[in-house]
Amino acid sequence: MPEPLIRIRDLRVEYRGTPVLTVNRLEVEAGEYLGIVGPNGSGKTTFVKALLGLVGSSGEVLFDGKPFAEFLKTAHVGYLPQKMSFLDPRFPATAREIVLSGVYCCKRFPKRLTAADHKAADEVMVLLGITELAGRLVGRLSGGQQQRVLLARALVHPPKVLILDEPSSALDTPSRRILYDAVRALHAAKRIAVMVVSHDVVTIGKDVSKLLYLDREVVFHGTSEEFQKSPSMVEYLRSGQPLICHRR
Amino acid sequence: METLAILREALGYTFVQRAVIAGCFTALGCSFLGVFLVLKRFSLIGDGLAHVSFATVALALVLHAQPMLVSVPLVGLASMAILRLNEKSGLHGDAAIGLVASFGIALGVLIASTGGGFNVDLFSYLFGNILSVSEVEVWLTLGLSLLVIAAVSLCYHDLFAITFDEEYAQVTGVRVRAVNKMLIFLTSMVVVLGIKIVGTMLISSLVILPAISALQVARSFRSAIGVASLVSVASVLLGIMSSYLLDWPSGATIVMVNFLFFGVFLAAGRFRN
Repeated sequence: MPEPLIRIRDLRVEYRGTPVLTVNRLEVEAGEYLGIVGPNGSGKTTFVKALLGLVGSSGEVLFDGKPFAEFLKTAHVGYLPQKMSFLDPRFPATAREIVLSGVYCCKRFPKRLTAADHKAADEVMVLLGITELAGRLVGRLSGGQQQRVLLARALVHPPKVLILDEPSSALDTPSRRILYDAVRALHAAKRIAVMVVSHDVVTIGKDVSKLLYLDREVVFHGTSEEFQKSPSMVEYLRSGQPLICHRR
Repeated sequence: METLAILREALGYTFVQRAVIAGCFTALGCSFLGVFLVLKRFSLIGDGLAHVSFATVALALVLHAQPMLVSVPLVGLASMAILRLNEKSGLHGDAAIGLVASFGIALGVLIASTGGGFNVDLFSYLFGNILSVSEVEVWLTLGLSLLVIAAVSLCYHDLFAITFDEEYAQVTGVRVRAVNKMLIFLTSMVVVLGIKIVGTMLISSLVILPAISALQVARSFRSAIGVASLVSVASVLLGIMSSYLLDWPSGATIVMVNFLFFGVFLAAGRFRN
């Protein structure tokens, strides 16, 4: 049986001694499109950050059978963080500089750009429809444009897995659709694994092959069809928990 | 015409030539780092380390040693102490800087008052005396500046990555802690460089002012570093010439020229937007 792309065993994240997320067993296959849903504060972002080593955790998380730091030596994870609040509106980088910063992941010292890197940046910007933004300062773009620039950064070096944390949080409905269509097309064309965090099962439900419902632990993990008939979800909902938190 | 003749005559003097070379290289080193430090909100670290350099200069004068040689390792150690205090003691960034800075000043004052006999020398290091740069100091300045410029050029992409988005940099395998350490250590080097040029009280302005001037008009990250370099070198040159012509203190004049540039660039940036 082939090694899953991501294998999780006994993952536990604590905040000041209080457990905030427990995932005993979970696997993500190569080429899978996984939707991660759950109410506010259910640990969706914590889960993603624990996978990427951005928050302290215990347990085992293996990418291609290797710890994340080892995996990064030969492969790349595309990551679109949740909030744009880190983005300083006065930051002097152009959209093109930000996109190009995504190609250094697998380069060794001294990291230098090649003609192929510039070509890859051009291609991904065409794909996401942001070519005309290339020379503009990233801090002066709209939220949706910044989101697409950061997605281009995540994709410019072909990732083995693409992790999107609430990618539509800054987007209006048409922009949201454009973004999800682009991700679906990439997933279909390159068979990269996609993990997308969302409040909104309706928006991502059409695209994903599997759903993971979290509420500080795994409530459900399976296909979209199974999700609708899942006894664990029925039980969970009977206990008065919300299923979907729609965006306003 | 007379002014030009005076300046031409000035450039014939060895001490002015040394001042120009040391000043320009110091300015380049500061401006290469300044953009990263300002955007990472590390500007005050330079200020804190400058206060520490006051103590290291006092110590060097007591020991009759070369102040830059004594300051390089000690200010470097202080930079690591600030980082460690931030990471391990739970202090907020500003508090750690304040702690180390006030410790540096207090220690400097104690050394100066107990050492005695060198208060005039110490004063020249407080506010700089670029026209008294020695040949050894020129060589030290050249070496340290080139080290800073080379380190920033070779690690440009990692520095850019941690400046824009530290979390993403970590996910892409950048050794964020190591790069941050390098950035702070290089800052300690430019602080030492500036001791003789503008003095320990004004050195942080050489790091901050060209960078924030450049940020008003920059159209890309690389151009921000380029503009900051030009502003800082121009400020040093104009500052040295003005101070020579007007018989003003050179360090303060360089900083005031930097302020003028900032005012012009601020207005230009507002006008363009």
